[in-house]
Order: sequence, then C-alpha cells, then structure tokens
Amino acid sequence: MNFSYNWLQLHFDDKLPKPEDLGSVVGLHSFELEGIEEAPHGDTLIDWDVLPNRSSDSLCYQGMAREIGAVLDISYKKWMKPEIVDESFDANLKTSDFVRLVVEEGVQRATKRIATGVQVGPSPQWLVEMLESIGQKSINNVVDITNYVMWETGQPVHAFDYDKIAGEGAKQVDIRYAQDGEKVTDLTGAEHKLDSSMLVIADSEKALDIAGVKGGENSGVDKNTKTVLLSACNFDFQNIRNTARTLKLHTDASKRFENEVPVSKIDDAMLQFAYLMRELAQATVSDEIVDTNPDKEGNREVKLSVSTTNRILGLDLSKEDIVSILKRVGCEVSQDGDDEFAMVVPIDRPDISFAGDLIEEVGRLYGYENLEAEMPTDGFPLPEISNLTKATRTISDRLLALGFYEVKNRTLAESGVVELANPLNKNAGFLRSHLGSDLVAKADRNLAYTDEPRLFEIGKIFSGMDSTGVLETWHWAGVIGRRKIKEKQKQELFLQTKGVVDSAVDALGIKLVWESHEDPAIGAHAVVSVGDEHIGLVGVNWWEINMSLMLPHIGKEISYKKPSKYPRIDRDVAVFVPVETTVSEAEELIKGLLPEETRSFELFDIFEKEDPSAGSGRKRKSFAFRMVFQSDTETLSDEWANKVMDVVYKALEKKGYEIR
Amino acid sequence: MSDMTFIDVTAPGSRQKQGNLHIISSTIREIEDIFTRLGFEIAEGPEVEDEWHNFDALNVPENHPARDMQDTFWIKGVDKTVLRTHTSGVQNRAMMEKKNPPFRIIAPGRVFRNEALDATHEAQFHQCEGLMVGKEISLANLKGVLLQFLQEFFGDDSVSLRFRPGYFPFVEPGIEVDVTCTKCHGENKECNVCKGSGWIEILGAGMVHPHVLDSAEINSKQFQGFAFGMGIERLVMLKYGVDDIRDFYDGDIPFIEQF
Ligand SMILES: [Zn+2]
Repeated sequence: MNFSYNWLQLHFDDKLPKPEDLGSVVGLHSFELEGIEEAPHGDTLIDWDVLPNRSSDSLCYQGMAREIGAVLDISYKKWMKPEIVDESFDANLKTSDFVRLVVEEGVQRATKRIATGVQVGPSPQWLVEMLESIGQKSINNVVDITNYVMWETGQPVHAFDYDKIAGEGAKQVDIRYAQDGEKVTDLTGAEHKLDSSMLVIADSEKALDIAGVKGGENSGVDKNTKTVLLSACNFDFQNIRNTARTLKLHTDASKRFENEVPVSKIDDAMLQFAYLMRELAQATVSDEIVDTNPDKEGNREVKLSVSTTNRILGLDLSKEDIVSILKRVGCEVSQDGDDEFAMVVPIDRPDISFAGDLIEEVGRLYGYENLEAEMPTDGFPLPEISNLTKATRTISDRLLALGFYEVKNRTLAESGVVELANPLNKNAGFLRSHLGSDLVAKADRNLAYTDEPRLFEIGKIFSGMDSTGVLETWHWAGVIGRRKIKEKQKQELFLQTKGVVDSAVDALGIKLVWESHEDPAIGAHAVVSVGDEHIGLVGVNWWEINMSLMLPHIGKEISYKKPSKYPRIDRDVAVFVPVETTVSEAEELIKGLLPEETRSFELFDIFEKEDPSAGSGRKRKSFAFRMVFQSDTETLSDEWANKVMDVVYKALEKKGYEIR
Repeated sequence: MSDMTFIDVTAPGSRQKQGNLHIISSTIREIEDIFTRLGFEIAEGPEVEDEWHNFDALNVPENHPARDMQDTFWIKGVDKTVLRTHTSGVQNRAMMEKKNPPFRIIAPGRVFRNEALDATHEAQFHQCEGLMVGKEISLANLKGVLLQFLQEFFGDDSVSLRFRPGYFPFVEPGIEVDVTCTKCHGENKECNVCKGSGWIEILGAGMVHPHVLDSAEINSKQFQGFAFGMGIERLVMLKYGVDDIRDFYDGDIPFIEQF
C-alpha cells in the first residue's frame, strides 16, 4: 500500500527520518519496500508490501504509525488532525427512534448512528490535500470523511442518506442475503447482478448497498442530504472475498474486509466518523449507537519464555530486553516470572496468538541484521543417497557422453489418463501418461538445428487412478531424431538405440532381457525386462522405460578374480544362416559348447546378402563371432584351441549353417 | 633416429560429440551436492499430493486463498487431491519416515500453480526446499547454513545475505532472504537485476511452525528447526540472465547446450 509520508508524520511529535530512510528501515523490520514516489502538495508516497498476516492491522495510517513507532522506538499518537477531545454526543437524539436493524449470519457486527442537520459542502483544505496526496478525489465533506476514516482506522464506513431509506418512524434496515438475480447500481452508476451468497444492506423495498464492497446509487449522500445514517459493520471475510471475486469488484473496502479487519476497529471508526461529522459537517450526532454485537472481545494473553526465545532465535537476550521490545508493539506483562511470563497483546493484532508470534516480534525488532551467522554444531546421521538419485545421475551421465541432450517437457498434456478438474486450457487438461510423444516432437523441432538430435528425459508420468489416488512413476525415455528412416536402415539404427540403452543401464549393474514384439500401432520394437518384469519398450530410434521398476535392481555385485598372467588366444567364426535366424539362437548354440577358459564371446559383425543357392532374391544373413580363451593356470596351445573350434564347427554344420 | 612426418597439430581433434544436462537438472545437482556436503539427505515425494500433505500438514488455514481453484490444480474424480504447489509436502513425509530428529533434508522437485503463461510465469516450475530439525537448531543456524550455501552456489566468498520479515503459514518467524546482487555488487543504480537496490530476493525461509512438527508427530516442545525454499528457474534466470521462463521447456538444443 502507498502511504503518504506527511500523513504518517502527523501521528508523531518526533521528526520522522527522511522518506528513503524510513522506507528502508521499515522494509528491513516490517514490510518490504516496493518503491518511493513524489506526490502532490510536496508529499512523498512510500509503498510497503504489507504482509498477508498483518493486513488486518496495517492497511491504515493508525496501524502503520504504530508499526513505525515500534520499529523506531518512538511514541506515536493514535489520534491526530483533529485530535478527538470530546467523545460525548447528543444524548437526546436517539438512533433507535430512526432505525431498526435486522442482520443475518455472516454479519459479525453492525453499528448505526444517526446524524441530523447535516450541512453537505466542500471539505476543508487540509482534508482535500490529504486525500489528493494519496490519489483520492475530494467529493464533499461527508463522503470525504468516510474515506478519511477508512484510511485512518482501516475500518470501512458508509454514509446513507436517511431520507432515501423507505419506511416511516423507526425504519427497518436489513443486512440480508440477496435474491438470485437481484440488481444493485453502485455509486459510479455500474449495475451488478447479485446471487444469494452475497450480502446486501437493504430497506423494506430495495437493496441499498453491496455489503462490504460498494455503496449503492439510490442511497448515497448528495448536496440536499440533511440526515445521515452512519454505518460501520464487520462481515465474514470469506464471504466478502467471494463476493468481490465473483463480481470482479475489488474496492478499498472489500480489500480490508477480506483481510479480517478486527471487529473492535468499529469503535475507533465510529468515534472518528461521528466526531468529524460534528466538526466538519455541523451535524448533531446521536450519542446512541445501534449495535448488533456490543460485547467487547476479551484481552488475549500469550505466554513466553526467555529460554525458548533465545533458543529459537539463537540469541542471548535478557528478560528486560525481550519485554522492552514487546512493549514497543503494545504488549504488556500480565504475569511475571523468572523465565516464563505472560503478556497481554493488543486486541487488534490477531496475528499474535502463540509464543512463536511474539518471538517473531522480538526477532524482527531486535533486528535480523544483528543475528550472527552460525553453523549448527549438533550431530547428524550421514546422508544416504537414494537409488533414484543414483540412477538419475548415472543414466544421465552415460547419455551425455553418448551425445544426448536432456530436455524437460511439460507435465500438463492434451490427453492422458488423469484429468484436471480445473485446467488452464483444453490443451493442458491432463497429466502426461508417457514421455515419448513429446520427446519425438522435440526431436523433430530440433532437426532445424542438427541432423541427428539425440534427446532424453527423466520425469514423472501418471498412468492410472482410482477414487483413492493417482499412480505416478518415474520414466526415462530417449530418441535419436532422423528426418526419415529407410526400411533398410532400421536394423542398424535399432542396434544403435539398443546399445545406448544397454550401456546406460550397464553402469547401474542392470542386465536387460530383450524380446521382440509386434504392435501395428508402434511398429517393430523390443520389450525389455529385468528379471521377470517387463519394464519398457525400445523401438527403432526411441525407448521408454519405467525407471521406478528398475530401481530395486540397481547395484553391481563384484566378486574379485585375480587377472590371469598367461597369454590369450583369439578365434573367430563366421557363418551364413537363414534370414529368419536370430543372433540369440546362434549364440545359444555356441555358448553351450565353450569351455571354462572362455573369457569373452561376442558377435562383432552382421550383414544380409542374397542367397545364391536359393535364387530369386532370397536373402541370407552372416554372423561373425569372436571368442577369447585364457587360462588362470597355464599357457593354452593352438592345438587346444583348434579342438574347441572343431566342436563348434561341427555343431554349426549339423544345424545347417554354412561356415564361411 | 628422427621421424620427419609432418603433423598438422592445429587441425581439430576427433572427439565424441557430447550432449548436455538441462540447466534445471544441473542446477538441482549443484544444490544437492552443496547440501549433501552439509549433511542433508535428498528426499523425494509425489507430484500429485493429497490436500492434507499439501496444505493441512503445513499449517495452511482451511480458508487460505491458495486452496482456491484459481491458484491450485485439482484432480478430477479423486477426492481432495491436487498437483503439489510446493515440495514442502515432502517435509512431512520425510519426517514421518525418519521419526527421530536430528535430521537434515532437502527436497528438490517439480511443482505447479494454476497461472496463465507469460515470460515470468509457468504452470510448472521447480523448487528445492530444505529442512533441518534438532534440539537447538536456531534462526542463527539458518543464517549460517544459507550463507555457506549461497557463497558456494555463486562461487563467491564476498556474497552476503540479509533477512527480512516474511510470511509463510508453515514457519514462524517467517523470513525473506536477500542476497547481494551478483551482477553489480550494489554499485550500479541502473542494474536490471537488483533494480539498483544491491539486493536480490532469493529464498523464503523461517523456523518450522510447531503445528508442522506436530503433524509429523515430532514433539515441538523438544525439537525445533528451520525450513527454506527456493525457485530453481528463478535462480537460473538470475545467474545467467535468462529472461523468459518458457525457454526452459521449449527443448531447443541451442538453449540446452549453452550451460
Ligand atoms: Zn545489481
């Protein structure tokens, strides 16, 4: 809120620091300083962002002056310009002869007071200037007074032209819920259609005012007004918030009610309102206030201890230090003790309700700038690294080395299994159920920058729901982007993709089992498993794997074996096989025949070629395997290796494979 | 014997083309590494959260505006369930799991707000929250730990911080943390990062509200601690001058490869 510097100064006998200094000292101890600007009449506006929990007491000059007094440790005056010297009004004029008040639930307190012989006219120059300095236009003395009282006390008040209220004698004024579709035209001439959740102030015929939000045109004060019904009420803050939001009508009044103006503020506001009506509009004001809830709130007492205060803040303050700081915000000791004591807190500081709130007051007014930065000295258990963190980091690092870029796509998607009740727009009404399609789209987009964009993502997907919850899992997915994939490139590209996936999970000690699978919707692809569990799919140039299912399997088991000191022998074998033969078939056949001295055995070449014996374009495949033999106890001979290979050759031939 | 074969050593070496982590991930990793060295454990929790964990357990009042449809995404067909608006829900889960303080936890992750998209607002972004609970963990310790973190993160021992009052329902006292402007060091009145103030608002923090400890069945008479939270995108935007939050999610390699 923008505060007038000159207006604030009127609450102090001491000279305030200059606006920049005042702005920043309050900024450090109370509310963030948002800006400082020049205002009419040589004034300066200081914009402080009043905190949400302090909006009930500090969105007004009385409240902010008290806050500044506390921060600077100087005394402030609650009443100023003019000081209220005489609080008694006309005892013969009875408000209850003029009005009967009937209110419904949601009205916490309603007060009315009658003023007769009102002379509507211009405001005095000082009032015009004060309002102008905060950007408010002077209308007439009565309207200006209502405005002024709200800025001063934080309590919105309203002036009804009594003669415009329907009825005779003690006229009935209701604060009731509107009828659905009931219309009210406000002071600016704008018409609002209300519903039955909204409160109105009404006479026996019509709504006069949208309660807590805006006054109505039909009951406003004009130059002919003689009798004014002064009104100050307090409403359920939630109700006013909803009304203002539904009508899109956010006013200075609704803003204050939404922030829970303390009910007791009505007393201050009614007093100042009546006083100014008498002083500035020559009114005779009734001493009697019609009040639906005159019961005063009791004092609130909060207990605090010196040791807790110091333990929370990390300070070493004495009880005297603490008490003197809290007195600055208006607290008083009500129950004394060596360590523990109790304080009565100001009735209009609803944000102070337990010891922690008082400790905050001590901390901020003592000054957080005076708090030393100290490292904690207590012990703590050594942090564990979760499998999720390990897997995420290991996989990512491997993929980076293989030329992949990590992208982050949006969780909100056009389609999915889990739907939002209140989406921002219909393109983002669901939670994503997989990562792949967005990733492929991003790969296409990146073809503008590179011929083969390699991308991956690790993120949450949402794959199911029932009435009790939503199933979410970590996925990791990747894509090798290509402009176009020709049929004959697919095998080679698939092997690239497979190699990437295998080497990424290899570092986690995971061995994937690969099985081929057909699905017309996504083309040829593999299903990969760990143990007996299917954990994902790998296509020609993409993969999507459920990482959550992978996590329990992470961990390399290492059983050390002393490296052999003896030389190794390498042997290759290449065979032509029928085109439908898979690598794993041939592998299984050979593997079973190899001796324990086999260090490694792997495929190193594969290609397809026309089969001359079959003719008419039929193809056959060639597999080339390499095996390495090495013993831990002796030097192996060529003859030894030849014998092993003879067994292998025979078995291959028997199977009908042609040795090359 | 000398080999006179000419080698052009200025020709580029043949190297495997490297990819890159997304800046959000590498920033989170950097934060995790600093806090892990300070004894913090990394915790994780669901992105779809029940209302209790997202609000009630964190002392957010029943009628708080954050619970309105305007600010929070709600899930259709599942009672009282939201897309988490902060990673603070993880605090409760982690405390419930660990049971006995002392503990030190950070929770990085994706969070959601029902906000229209523009250069500084995204419906999704990332946060990292931290929590330290023990018998004597104080506001002075919060200052110590955050100072250590910020100096390491910005790689600058001259970085300092200041506390201002703030308000978050789950802490009391609540603190806004400013860090000295890493661009102008308070020396440029026209600085576009700190707007000439010399300070940048970077974190929200405070002492854990006793209600929050109580909801996690931790005795708030015996234990106390601090919590803090920071927006990752905001940190990156400050550190590198990224000016549009939407750039993070476009997936363009020319963006990703720079960091
Ligand atoms: Zn700067």
